[in-house]
Amino acid sequence: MDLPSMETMMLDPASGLTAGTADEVRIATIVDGRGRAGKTTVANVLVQFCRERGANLRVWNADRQNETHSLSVFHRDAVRPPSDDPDDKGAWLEESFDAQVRERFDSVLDLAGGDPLVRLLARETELVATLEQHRVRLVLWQVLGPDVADLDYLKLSMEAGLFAPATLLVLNAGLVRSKRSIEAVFAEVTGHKVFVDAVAQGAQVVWFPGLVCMKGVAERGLTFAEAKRGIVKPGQQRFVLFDQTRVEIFWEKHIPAFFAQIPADWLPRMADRAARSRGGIQ
Amino acid sequence: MSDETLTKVLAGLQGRRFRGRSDLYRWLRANYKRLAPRLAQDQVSWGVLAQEIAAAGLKNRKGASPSADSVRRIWGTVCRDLAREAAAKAQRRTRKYPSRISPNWWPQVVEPPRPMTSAGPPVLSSPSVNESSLGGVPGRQSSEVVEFPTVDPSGAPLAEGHVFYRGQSMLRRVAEQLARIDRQAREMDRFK
Repeated sequence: MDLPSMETMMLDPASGLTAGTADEVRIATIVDGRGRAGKTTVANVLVQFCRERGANLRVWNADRQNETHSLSVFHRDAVRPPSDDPDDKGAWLEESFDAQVRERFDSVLDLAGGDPLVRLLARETELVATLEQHRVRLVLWQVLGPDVADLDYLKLSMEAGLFAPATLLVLNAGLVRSKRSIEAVFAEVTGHKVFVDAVAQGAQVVWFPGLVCMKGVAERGLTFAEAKRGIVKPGQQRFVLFDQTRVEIFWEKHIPAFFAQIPADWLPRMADRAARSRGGIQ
Repeated sequence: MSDETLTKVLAGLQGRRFRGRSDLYRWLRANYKRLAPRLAQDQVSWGVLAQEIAAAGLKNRKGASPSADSVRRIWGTVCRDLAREAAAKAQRRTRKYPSRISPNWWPQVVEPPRPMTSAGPPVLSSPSVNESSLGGVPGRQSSEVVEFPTVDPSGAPLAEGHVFYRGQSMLRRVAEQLARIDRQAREMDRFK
């Protein structure tokens, strides 16, 4: 879907999406990190979770290298840059932020591993401050695995000025497949100066929970709501009983718990929060 | 320090643990929590503290009034002992249990969000997700209060707002976040 055609989706009160008001702060979430750290999985969970709760959210998929498990598989309305050319991607991103400022929606951007796209724009335009002036809060989700090299991208983001004021360090516990303890496997990362400095500068740290059968869900191109109900697409193998239960526990307990750790004003606006602020839910 | 206070101090020392330690050690240890912040903020010099302790009648193991240097040194011993005991206690909590993550695993909740600073008034009216009905489990959201040493293992007081954690000095709010994720990791490990 290209940008002009998305304008028709805007803020229809009858659609049940959260329209909000013109001066309300909107959230631009950028999911960044090294390749294989779990960015797309985390972004996919974020989008599904918020949309289940009525968020008016646009998905920007800048990861053109990842076809099999890309966000576009799960979210057909995800917008992609016209090509992998850096100039095309840069222009596409600027147009996307411009549309967000004018049209007032929340966004989630999934970057390819180590893609300098946003960092370049941030260096050139003081992106965080510029968006804030237009009441769009940039929230950086830096996804980290247990490899110290994952911190290189956090360091680059800090140097590019992408870091403040809202940064979430997402420790992906789902990457620990060995019998070693999660605490021990991540000790080098969480004890590293770059990590500690980021926390000192105001970053919040959260654990992203693992799901043993995550690969099975992703490879079937299912949403978590579908997988927990045991739905599969034609020609696919059904989920075994216990995997279905695992998905249900993940989606109904662990993921809400994960989101409960994140400051509410760093998340896209969701319908139940909007209703609460209007006194609609007691 | 008045005689009455001294009497109370000495009475409080009766039958205490740490056999073989001087009264000074016991007294510094018993009053660690109250003394540490003041020493960390340089509100009290070692000399003044030694004079007050001498005036109160506390003696070192040789029966002499303690000097500023001996108070500083014994304070360091107290801090070291407390840090070791805290580390040993933490280590005892890191036992691992073979299993997958528990269905009942529930992480601690972070502090409330900081307001937006540079783009007009913060957005406020929306309640936090913590308060919402997003799958919350009642009674799981209280945050644990952790106490951190405000001096390093040698007894030297740390800069204001700093505490000692993971073998280094750091801001208290950083230590609190790191302690929280360490605790959550241990909780996940229990069910791994």
